[in-house]
Amino acid sequence: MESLIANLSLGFGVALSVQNLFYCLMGVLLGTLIGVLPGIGPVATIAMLLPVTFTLNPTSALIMLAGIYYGAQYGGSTTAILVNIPGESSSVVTCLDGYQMARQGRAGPALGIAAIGSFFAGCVATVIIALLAPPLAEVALKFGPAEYFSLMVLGLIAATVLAHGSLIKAIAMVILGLLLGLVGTDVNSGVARFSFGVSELSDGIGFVSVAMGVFGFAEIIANLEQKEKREIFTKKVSNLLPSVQDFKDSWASILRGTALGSFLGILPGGGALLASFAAYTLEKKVSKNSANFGKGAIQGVAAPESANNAGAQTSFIPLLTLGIPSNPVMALMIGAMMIQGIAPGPQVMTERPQLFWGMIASMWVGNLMLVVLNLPMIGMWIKLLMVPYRLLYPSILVFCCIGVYSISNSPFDVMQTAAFGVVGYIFVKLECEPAPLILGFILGPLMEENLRRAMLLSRGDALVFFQRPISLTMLLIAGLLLAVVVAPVVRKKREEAFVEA
Amino acid sequence: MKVTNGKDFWAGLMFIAFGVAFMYVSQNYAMGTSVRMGPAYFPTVLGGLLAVLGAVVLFRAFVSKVENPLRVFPFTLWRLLAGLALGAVAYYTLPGRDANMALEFGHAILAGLSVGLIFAAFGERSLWIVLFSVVLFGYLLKPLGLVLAVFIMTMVSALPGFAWTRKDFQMLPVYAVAGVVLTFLVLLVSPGIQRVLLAVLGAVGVHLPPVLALLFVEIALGGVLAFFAGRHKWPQITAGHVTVLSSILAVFSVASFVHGLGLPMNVWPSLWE
Repeated sequence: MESLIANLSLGFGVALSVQNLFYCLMGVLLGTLIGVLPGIGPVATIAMLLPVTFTLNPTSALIMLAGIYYGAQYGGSTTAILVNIPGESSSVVTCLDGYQMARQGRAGPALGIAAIGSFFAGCVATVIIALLAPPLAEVALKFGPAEYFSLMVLGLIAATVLAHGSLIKAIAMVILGLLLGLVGTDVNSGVARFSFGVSELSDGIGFVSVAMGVFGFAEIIANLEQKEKREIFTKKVSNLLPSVQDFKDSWASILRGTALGSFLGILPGGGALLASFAAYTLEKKVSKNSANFGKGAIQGVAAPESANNAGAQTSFIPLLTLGIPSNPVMALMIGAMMIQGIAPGPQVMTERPQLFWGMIASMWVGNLMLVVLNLPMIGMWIKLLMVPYRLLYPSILVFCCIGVYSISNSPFDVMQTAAFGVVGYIFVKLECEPAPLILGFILGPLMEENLRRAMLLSRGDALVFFQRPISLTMLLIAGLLLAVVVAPVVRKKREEAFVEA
Repeated sequence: MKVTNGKDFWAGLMFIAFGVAFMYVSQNYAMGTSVRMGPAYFPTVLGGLLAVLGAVVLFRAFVSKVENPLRVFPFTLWRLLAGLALGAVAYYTLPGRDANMALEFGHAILAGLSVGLIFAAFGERSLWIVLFSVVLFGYLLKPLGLVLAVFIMTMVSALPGFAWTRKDFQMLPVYAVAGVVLTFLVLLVSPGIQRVLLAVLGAVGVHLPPVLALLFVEIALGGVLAFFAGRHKWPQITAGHVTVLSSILAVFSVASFVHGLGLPMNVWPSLWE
């Protein structure tokens, strides 16, 4: 307990320095600005703004990136409520009731309860991270290569199980991602693999290119194909504070959403998306007036919004303690850490306590900023929403392109991103989820490295993965997850759950 | 045997193709043993796994109860083949360093055409026009500078009139002129303000990287200009146009940020400098 307080005060000392407050603020603002744009989710936002953070010191850079993430989440729910376009997949369920509330002229309370619920969830999740991270990191320090390999297998399997759509395709996408991640110079032998003599490829495929192409460009193209029919409820956004009755109706939902979201965020493969879906379903089951859901029930906004924020934050736990990303956003964070020269893993906490605790404290600060700043600024975001998409998308494209170009200042990266745009478009058309691909892409080299080391240590005995208890447990869980999903009963339920929501 | 799910059919083929391709290319590298894995070991195993999974997906396409037409998106083979052929020509006729300008220019057009054709093979207009404008931007940035590259990119990405209305196009010169003038103004005055800002912040004890200070100065200036532009009742200029203008300004801020890092991303055509 004492160490917790000491750690947190160290963290707040870092996070509350004028400089870091400033970066946190910029991150939150920029994130919201881009997150509000319809059709640009957190992954594309972070990929777009990543080069901006290259020059900062690692702590400030990560604080700013985390701010961008929350900002983008928040912006996503604003568009969901006001325009019925989810800015990102985790606010899909917010559309259901939030938009209906807006139609009834209650956009203000919907936005207000979303912000308040998110803030509460953010506070709880910050404490959970501070409590859980140190013991987990201690366990993780004992991990050998075999354990790491099994952990990655578990993480990837869990991510595919929780992705929607076909399971086999999701696993195939993971493997494709792993393979793409292997492009470039092999660390052990120095051979440039799959580079076809192209010198740019010998450094590997840039993960910003992959993320931007598959998530950013493919989304823009898909948006352009749909005819624009938006109905924005902007005129009457007044009275942002929910009434006392609203609070009475929704406090329990906020609590439940927070609890569920925090738990689901920790699981590998979990995170904001799953949390918001699950919270909405739970709320519908628990609520006395479940008939009201989908017709503007405030609980249907409060629960998923709290849950997705809690999930978004607790998904930092596996990232910070194990170095394993549980969703594409965390994969980008790992990429950012690597660019800053930090190897993600349990040693971050002991070797760089300033960075670790500073980032955790900044999460709370960032959430506070979102509530304090964004509620009054809602008018500005609405103005942005009123711009027709046809006028907006060239600017978005320009932003993306400059971001990509500035990574290494070469046309090659832009070209590569465009190529991944085609690939991403084909994935969308063939109903292949791109999220597992990005996870595989980040983990590819790590997985190969750990596999090699484990096999070297065991003198080529593949049984080592089953002889070490922790490794065995993780593989068993992975197998169990697969078996459960393939079981016909669950499969049907799973399909229903995704169809319903 | 009849394909019921076209999407699974193509997805299966795609996975098999990727898997086999990775396995095939891996043969150039050392396999190693399971104790000491060579560079080919992991990709070969994964490629095989991917091909097997692809085969399962392909099989499912024939028995699936989900019905999808085989023609998932409009695909034109001749465009792909022509694009690849042109690309191969461009690859093997790469002009040397001392080639004259005309040759280089012709080669660039050839390469561009090949890329455009390959993108255009995958059907929908929004796809290939958006991506072609992206590639164009990437290659034009160095010789033409940011301002012109952004202008061309905007033109091309809105070109087919599938998104922009006639009125939007009539407004384009206004964007262009206003964007260039404003950029020029902003870039002109911002270093001075940047110095003042740094001095003030330094007095408070905040040590901001100069580049970032410049970035914020420019975003702020852009915001102020956009604000006043919005207040002024110009004919035909709506809130939308103002936002577009201010985002263009923000783009230039990013550019100068990149500039400040010492990366040679020029704002104006390099011929001028």
